Amino acid sequence: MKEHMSSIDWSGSNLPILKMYPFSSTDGLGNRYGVYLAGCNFNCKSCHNPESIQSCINCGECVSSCEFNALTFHEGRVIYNPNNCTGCDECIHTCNYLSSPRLFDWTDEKLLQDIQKRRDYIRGVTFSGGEATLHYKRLVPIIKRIKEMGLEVLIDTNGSFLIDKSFQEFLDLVDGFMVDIKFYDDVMHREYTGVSNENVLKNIPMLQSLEKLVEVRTVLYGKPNNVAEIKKISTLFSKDILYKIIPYHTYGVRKNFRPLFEVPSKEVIKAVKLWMEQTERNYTVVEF
Amino acid sequence: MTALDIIKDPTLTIEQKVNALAKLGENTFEPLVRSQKLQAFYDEGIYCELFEGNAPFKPRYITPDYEKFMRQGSKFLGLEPPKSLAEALNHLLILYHHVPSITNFPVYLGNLDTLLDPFIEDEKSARELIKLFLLQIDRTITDSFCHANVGPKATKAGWIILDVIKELDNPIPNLTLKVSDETAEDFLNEAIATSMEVVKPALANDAMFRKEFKGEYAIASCYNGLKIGGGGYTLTRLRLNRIAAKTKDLPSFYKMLDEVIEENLIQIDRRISFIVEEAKFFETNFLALEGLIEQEKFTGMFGIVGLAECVNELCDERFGHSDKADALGVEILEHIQKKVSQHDGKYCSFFDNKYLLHAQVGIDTDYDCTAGCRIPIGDEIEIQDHIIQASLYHRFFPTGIGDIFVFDKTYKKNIPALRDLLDGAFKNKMRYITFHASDSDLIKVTGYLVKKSEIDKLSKGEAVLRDTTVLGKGANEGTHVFNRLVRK
Repeated sequence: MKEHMSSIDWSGSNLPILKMYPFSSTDGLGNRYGVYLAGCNFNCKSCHNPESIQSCINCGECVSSCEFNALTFHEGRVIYNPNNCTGCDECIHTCNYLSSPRLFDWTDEKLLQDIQKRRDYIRGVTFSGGEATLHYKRLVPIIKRIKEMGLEVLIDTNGSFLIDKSFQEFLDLVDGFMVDIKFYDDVMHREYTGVSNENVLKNIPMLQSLEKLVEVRTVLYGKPNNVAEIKKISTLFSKDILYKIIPYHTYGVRKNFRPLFEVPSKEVIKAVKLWMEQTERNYTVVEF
Repeated sequence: MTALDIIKDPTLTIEQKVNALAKLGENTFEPLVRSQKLQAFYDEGIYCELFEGNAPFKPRYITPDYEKFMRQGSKFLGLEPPKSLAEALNHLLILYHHVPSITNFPVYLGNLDTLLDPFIEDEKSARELIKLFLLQIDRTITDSFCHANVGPKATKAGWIILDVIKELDNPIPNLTLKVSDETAEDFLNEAIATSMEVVKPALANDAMFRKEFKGEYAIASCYNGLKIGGGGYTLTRLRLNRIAAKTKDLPSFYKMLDEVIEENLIQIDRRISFIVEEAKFFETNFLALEGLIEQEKFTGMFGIVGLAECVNELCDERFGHSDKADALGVEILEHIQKKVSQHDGKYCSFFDNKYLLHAQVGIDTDYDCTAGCRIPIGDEIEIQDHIIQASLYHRFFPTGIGDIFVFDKTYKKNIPALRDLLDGAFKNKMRYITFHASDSDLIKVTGYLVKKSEIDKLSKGEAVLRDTTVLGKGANEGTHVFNRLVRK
């Protein structure tokens, strides 16, 4: 496993916010404020938003690719002006570093104020990514403030975090985790994500024992066929935990990796549904 | 339109022709001649009487005390108090036929769950009977301004009603759930899930209405809050945008607004006096004679539309998109509220002789103004910001205001998300809210429901059962009500 990126020191700078969803019905039960943070310790070949894998290094390559003057280079930094942005994604296609220049330059205070404004309309905040747990040190004080508002905090994760003393405080604070597990088989996991799933397999039952496992997710492919994988993954947690199956789609996937994957057929989806029914699992299959 | 035009119109049913001919007859004379000033406002479309006719001989909206009817029956109708569910349902259908309104159909059917629950014994047969009852209402009260209420507490009858309306998928009756701290969580979730299928029930902030109406209240017609055992005598309205368009700055706007308010109040007084003193409605109608309605529990409704366009005319920033513009909206409403509350109204002692404000939802021929205080369709903002913005205005309108939000069908799988929005909305003094999904055949036009498939029929020149389908078609052509922003 490559170096865990939680060792990156984000203190002193703003969180690398890729996107905020002040109203999200797909980041946990009820209505939640979703915050998507850049940076991931996996490099999944089927990633739908590969620009979230790294955090921008301000190389400036993307600036000239923007036809709408939404990006400028100032004092060694790429400055993003969302008002001019048309969302054409040319910048992220130009980036050779798997990152996005479109980070929101928000201070923690600004983020907390925006959450406070919407407090009455949401039941919690979900941090997603990228891999949100990479930022756990930065998130601890923010989460404390959010909890003071009477809101829940959920973390969307690939489940690979390493629990040590310093992570424990974060783990205690967070109300629940939603774990996106890619593969059960470690060889496949390494092949498609670049890292081992050793921690993931340990963390899922551990989170359940702490009553902090809210949801488990897996992408279902036509190729590589992972129906057997899904069955094995489901042994890691009890039947009452929601298992969300997301049929693979090609949107956002890097062109060079696309031949590796196929969209699952209706028959494959049906077979998975049937198996879930027969084994009486709490599950859902996402429809697009 | 002449009588012959009405008679020859192939898209009207016989019932619709009779109603149109009656209105034509009423308008052949003018007992309440408008002042010269008011007539000028009328001609410019600043002041509007919303199809009430020249000679109001009955109140526009009547909300009878159906609970009392269940207890005492009706001498005039020759009905003893009902003793079984079948009798209760039959008695109600009989009474509905005799409750007049602007549309000649009843605009309020009672708090159906609490009315019927005492009679429910076997749930299976109750479901069958209630289903037939609701089917009969849809096919014979052919006007979607007809409105039933349920709640706030969950009852067996309430559960059955939710279940049956989902199965029937009919536009009529319109339905509102009164939501309070006493509304059971599972019942409320089921109600929201039902509205994501069949666009009803809408949700009313019970605490707010109950306080303003000093106890029991009805939600009638589109979303009108009225006193049970009372109603609304008359509803005239001001198009605020047209006043703004005729004035050059804020002081001249307020000056003209005051003149229009003054003239409107005088005309409301005159219209109410005509119903009470000339038509002698309350001295002759059995609903009043048997105590199912009381004159003092009626009031005049002071309607406004087009706040958004009015503010956009007067302010350099846009309504719904700027705190400055939104604050001007509040300022204008505070001004109107103050002026209206300074006027002593006629025959409305229950309301301390005051008329109440109403954010009118628009009519089918509106093209330059948005309903009440809503953000125009096409100009909507992010959902929470939208609810926060709308909540600024709901407190001014006890006799009705409401907002409609359309969601992608994926929300059917996360009803708690809508619960969260509702909780926030009611906590912040939103009065009335409708959630519906973008994929249903039923659609809420302004406050009433139509079937898109019926509109298609009408567009092909065929007659359709429900008169509101005609209004829905017009409203879509004028203000694009089928194109509300779908929240994803």
